[in-house]
Amino acid sequence: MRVLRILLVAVMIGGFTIRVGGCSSAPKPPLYADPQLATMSFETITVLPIVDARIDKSEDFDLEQELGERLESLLADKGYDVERPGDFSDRDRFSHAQVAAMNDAQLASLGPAAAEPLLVLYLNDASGEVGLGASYNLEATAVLVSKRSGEVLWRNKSVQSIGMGGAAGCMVASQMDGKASELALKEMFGSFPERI
Amino acid sequence: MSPCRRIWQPLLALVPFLVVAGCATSSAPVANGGTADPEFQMLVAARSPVVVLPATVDFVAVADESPLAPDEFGGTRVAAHLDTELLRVLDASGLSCRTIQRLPAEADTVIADLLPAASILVDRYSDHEPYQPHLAVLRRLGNADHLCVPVVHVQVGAAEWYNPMSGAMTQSTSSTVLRIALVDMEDGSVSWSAEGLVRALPYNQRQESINPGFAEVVRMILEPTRP
Repeated sequence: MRVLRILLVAVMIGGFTIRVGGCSSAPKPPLYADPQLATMSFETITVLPIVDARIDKSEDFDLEQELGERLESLLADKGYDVERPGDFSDRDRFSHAQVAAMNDAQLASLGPAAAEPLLVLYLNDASGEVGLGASYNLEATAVLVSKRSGEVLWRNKSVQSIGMGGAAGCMVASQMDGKASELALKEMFGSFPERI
Repeated sequence: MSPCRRIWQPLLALVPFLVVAGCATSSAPVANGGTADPEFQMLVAARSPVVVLPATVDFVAVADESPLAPDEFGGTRVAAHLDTELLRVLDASGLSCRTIQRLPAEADTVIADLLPAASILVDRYSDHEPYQPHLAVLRRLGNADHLCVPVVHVQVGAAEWYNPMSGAMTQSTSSTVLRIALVDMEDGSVSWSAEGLVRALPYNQRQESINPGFAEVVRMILEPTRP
């Protein structure tokens, strides 16, 4: 009985709830979608290396594992074949900061010559805080661009804020980057059309 | 135990937790680059004349990037704070500064064209070619080599949040990014730039004052060597 009471207090004080702030993982309408996108048929989407567009890079974040692999599997679930070139461009070398500053037409010049369309995913910010509890913020943006027309076909963004108070929060702090990434991708791509 | 004590005891026990939890959600400001950079010091050594644009401050909703009215978030005060600090530091560094008020009237149209492009000009990797004619005119009228471009981009989101009953907590999703660049008006290239981030709004409406986090970012960029 005493153990049960202590556990109850720990739950109340420590908290076992993750609150997703700002946005939920429910599909979010895109910030922009070409009216023809739903009827366009493409089998393969070329996903460029994930762009680290953060100003504060102090948070250790595995772009490939947390975002790249998750995005690949999410697009595969929607029926697309996914191509992952190892670099931003076949011809020139670009830094993450250079790609982050590119306009739509410049983005369309990236990737393999035959790629159509290109998907660019940016990590805009990631920050974790650990005190008597833990919280994590993640902001990401995705753009689907047509290499042929040089125009944006789809654009979306997600901001996730998750956290858990008490010792329980501290115990799962190391998993929060993964959870926030998963929620962000689900929210951004929930409304992305499935392959025709 | 009296009923009153029974209620207050657990609440008092929560106080230290709430204090520490509150501290845990405050994010420290970050800056990349500053006036101590060799690129900036080279311009100071050359006593390069500079035209200083007024600070551009824009506010958007973090969720959908829809523009918000700057006046609702203290935008004018933020711009004034940055302009004052920037001129003070540039003057003190020995650079010869020319504000737009000291330029001939024919510069007005050029500046009106450049201000909306400030967020492009401040970025080292953005294409500055379309603005080259404007920069050439400003270079002649201002008799200056460089253009100082200060830009503040604010994303307005949810405030930090903590529920002591459920234990759920989040950081604020608001953020302020400050970018300052010195653009070479001869070729449009960026000679020096610095950027800073604070995960908070730049202005505290309740206290009617500049957020200490934003003031710290300004200081970290403009006076990085000061303790």
